[in-house]
Amino acid sequence: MGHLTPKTLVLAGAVLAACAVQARDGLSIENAWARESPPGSVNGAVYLMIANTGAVDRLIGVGARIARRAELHTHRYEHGMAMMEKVEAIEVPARGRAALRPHGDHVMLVGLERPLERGEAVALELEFAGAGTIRVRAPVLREAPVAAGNGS
Amino acid sequence: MTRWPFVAAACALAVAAGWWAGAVTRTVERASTPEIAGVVYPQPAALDEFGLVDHHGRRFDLKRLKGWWTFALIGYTHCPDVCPTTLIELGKTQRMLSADGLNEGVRYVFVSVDPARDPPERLREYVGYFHEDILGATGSDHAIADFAAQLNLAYFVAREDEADRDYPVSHSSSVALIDPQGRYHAVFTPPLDAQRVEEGFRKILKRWETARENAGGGSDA
Repeated sequence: MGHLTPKTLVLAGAVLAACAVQARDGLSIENAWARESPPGSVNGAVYLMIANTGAVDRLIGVGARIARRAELHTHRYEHGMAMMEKVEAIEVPARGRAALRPHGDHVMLVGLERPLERGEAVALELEFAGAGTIRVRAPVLREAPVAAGNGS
Repeated sequence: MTRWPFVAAACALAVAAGWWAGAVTRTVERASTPEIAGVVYPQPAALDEFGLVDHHGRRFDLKRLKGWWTFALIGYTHCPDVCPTTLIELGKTQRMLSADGLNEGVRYVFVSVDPARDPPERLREYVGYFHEDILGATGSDHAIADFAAQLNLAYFVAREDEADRDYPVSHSSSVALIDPQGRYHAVFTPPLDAQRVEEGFRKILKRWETARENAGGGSDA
């Protein structure tokens, strides 16, 4: 038991918080990250994983103070083109997951107030039809953390 | 009665011959167009003249492709997802090929199909973020359309009017590979993975060098 000092507990708490598991009504948000802005880039993207231990739910909106607008987007491949398009909602299956990741569904930040830099985090409000609002902080990274995967 | 063993043997022989012929065909096919995460064209088509401008403001045309392997892709700097993801992977491919000592004659070109928002100086900053070896290029609407069409890379600029600054651009996220003779040699299909591009390119390069040795070890190209 000598290992469980208060300091260790605080550290463990901090690590848990850093894993960014913001949970509510069976929904938890994991591995959220925002893409660092390449020079001159005025739009941004945020990716995350929604894990659901409860009934089916839908992500129906997203708010971000740092951008003029935040939208839910997906990619459709047609005639060999990636057609990025806005979607009204992203479904989170019951006892399943919805992955927002590069080349797929993502949060698009339209008209960033300033470039996103590594070391900061983007505050987002995710609005679900069932679970209501879940707040998330997405650290700014150059590319997907390994644990989050990078698509296919 | 006595014929059966003969018939059976003939059948076995025929099956074996069929299998062998199939195996040879498969081997030859594999040798002629290596399997990559995309397509290697059996008969690469020579590109026609085109006229773009690189991110230094210099003319970027067919002459500048000769003697280089060129990875080319299209996109735009306002692209929040596909372009950064693909460019990061290409930057990794560059580092892998450099580590293998294979990057000497290789170039990477990002062609913006959104000249209204991507002048050369902006492109220079943008591509430099991903890798200093990536060259940005753009041009007139006509020149871009011509270049992209030659590489079968489709795009669509969904701009409503002059005042519209937020318009999205749909575009192919494939990466074209042009050989040192200025021919459209292969295409890597999305989502791009640095490792698979590196592996595919090594196969293509190996076949290229073998063909050159067979042709008499010429050192042209």
